[in-house]
Amino acid sequence: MNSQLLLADVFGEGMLSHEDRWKKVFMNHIPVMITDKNRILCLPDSGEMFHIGCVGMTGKGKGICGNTMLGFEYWMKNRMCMILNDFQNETFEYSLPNSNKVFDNNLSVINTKSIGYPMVYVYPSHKNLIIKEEEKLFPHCKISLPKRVLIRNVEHFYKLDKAAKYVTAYIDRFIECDSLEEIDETITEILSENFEGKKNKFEEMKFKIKTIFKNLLDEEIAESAHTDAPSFLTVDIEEEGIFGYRNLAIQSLLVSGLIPSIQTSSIRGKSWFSAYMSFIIESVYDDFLFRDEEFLRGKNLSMYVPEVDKMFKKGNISDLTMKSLSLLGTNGRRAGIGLRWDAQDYEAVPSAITDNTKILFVMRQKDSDEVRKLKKDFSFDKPVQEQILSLESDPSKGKFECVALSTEPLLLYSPRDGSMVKTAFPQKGRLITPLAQHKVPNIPLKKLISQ
Amino acid sequence: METSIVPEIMNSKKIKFYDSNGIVFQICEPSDFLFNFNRFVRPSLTIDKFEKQKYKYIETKKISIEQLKEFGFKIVSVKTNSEMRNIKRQIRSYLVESINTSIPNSEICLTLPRNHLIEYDYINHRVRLVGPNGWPYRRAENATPWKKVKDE
Repeated sequence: MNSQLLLADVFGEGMLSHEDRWKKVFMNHIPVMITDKNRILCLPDSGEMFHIGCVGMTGKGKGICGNTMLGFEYWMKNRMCMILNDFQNETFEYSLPNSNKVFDNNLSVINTKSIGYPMVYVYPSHKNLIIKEEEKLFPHCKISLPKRVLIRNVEHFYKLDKAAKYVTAYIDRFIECDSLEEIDETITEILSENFEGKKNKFEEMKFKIKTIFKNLLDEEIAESAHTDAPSFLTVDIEEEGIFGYRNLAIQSLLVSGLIPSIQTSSIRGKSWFSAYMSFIIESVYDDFLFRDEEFLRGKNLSMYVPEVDKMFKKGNISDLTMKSLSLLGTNGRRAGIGLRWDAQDYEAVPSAITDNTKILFVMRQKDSDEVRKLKKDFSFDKPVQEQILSLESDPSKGKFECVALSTEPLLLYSPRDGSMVKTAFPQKGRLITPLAQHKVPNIPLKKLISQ
Repeated sequence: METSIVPEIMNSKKIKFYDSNGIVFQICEPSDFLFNFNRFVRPSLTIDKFEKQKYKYIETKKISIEQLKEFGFKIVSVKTNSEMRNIKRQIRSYLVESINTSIPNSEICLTLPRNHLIEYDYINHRVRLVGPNGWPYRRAENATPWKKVKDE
């Protein structure tokens, strides 16, 4: 080998065969960016799950960044992944390989090819749910909440007001009820004890409590309302020796190796949206934290949360979803769950998440005030600030510029010799672009499928 | 009807779901266009061994003004960012990333001979000025000798 190179030194590179000249160095880390110095920036692999964020103005590539990370995390690291809230039905395209030639050219820098992801689109069932015809072409399912969960948490789904003390104190009795009639009987028993001799107040309170439960069940979010919207799923995967694994629907889909994407556009405006999402987050957290199960033990989960700042009203510290996401922010590492979040407004993201976010990809910011907000958690100097304000994006060229800020050393692969160095300095560059298709504005899903 | 998802990439893994009553739960029709996954190609870099063995690869690092002055570079102060950018365009990608300065609130620009550039080998802690013509590695023929610099 060396003699060939020496000969080539004298007589030129024509002396070398393809194998003598070119060597393939496989990358072991998740690539995200190509820096301005043509290094491939990769995420560190410490064995522990950490949180990654992405901030920037609309249309500057936050979704692209998330799509890129998701694809490599799933295919390279064989990691469980889920998308917590697809507000705008933007993840259907992820089922398809990237068909954009420019994006494919970007991927060729690291010698890989576009590929779709095994997505399953999950619809929280409710009485007004309508699924579009083109969305039904994709793997999808409707899910519901276990009735017991719904009743146990009734105070989060509906305001109880004065009824609270008669409901929460006797909640275990209501949980045992299977129908509205049984609930009615239970209410009668409870209130008879408390309103002896006060018929008017009895009737008034009974009507109030019964209405609460009726409204709750009328929303049709509990499993009993629909036969096609289970709360639990049992899974068999013969090739992996999994038989009869039973868990809540999301967890079963994760164990089966699929990527659930929860479609939240139709429940976003519901009064119970926060309670619903909080239940999903905390049930997943509990399962991964305690890891009693064989198929979750030792596994990590990447939870993608697009538009995390839109999941709750800014500053509403009592919001259940915010509390649950904050729990993941502080304790996610222990449970093996890493958040991959994006937001337009950095300050609207709970501090429990931003304080524990180790890597932040910054797209173009609106003004220097927005950039200064990032300095609370990531230190960088004025030249970097100016870089952030001048970042560009040009989707037609597959160019999405960003700056990577990190409190952990990031990894830089050199394309010249395959060597890898670590750096915690801010790095400017452009995103690699995703493996899967990304939603193209003004091109409806129906048109994309028919191509 | 049985539900099976057979993505090729998942080694023809058949996944069956059942609901709470033990009835097969269908989440999709087998559909060619959705599950026609190509095999995932792991990312890699293609290294040119011929180029690599010829020239040392250089990583950039911060370098101080004092260190640069040792090599006889003329340092002038620059008032605007655009001047700094103009100079930086002459500098190829392996060069000084940022420059420490003891002068607050101004940026220091290097005045270099036309088409010259600085190479800083931070692995071996040495620097040299490289002459014109062609790509950086071929400029090695026109370079000053390497000079050791202090470690930062």
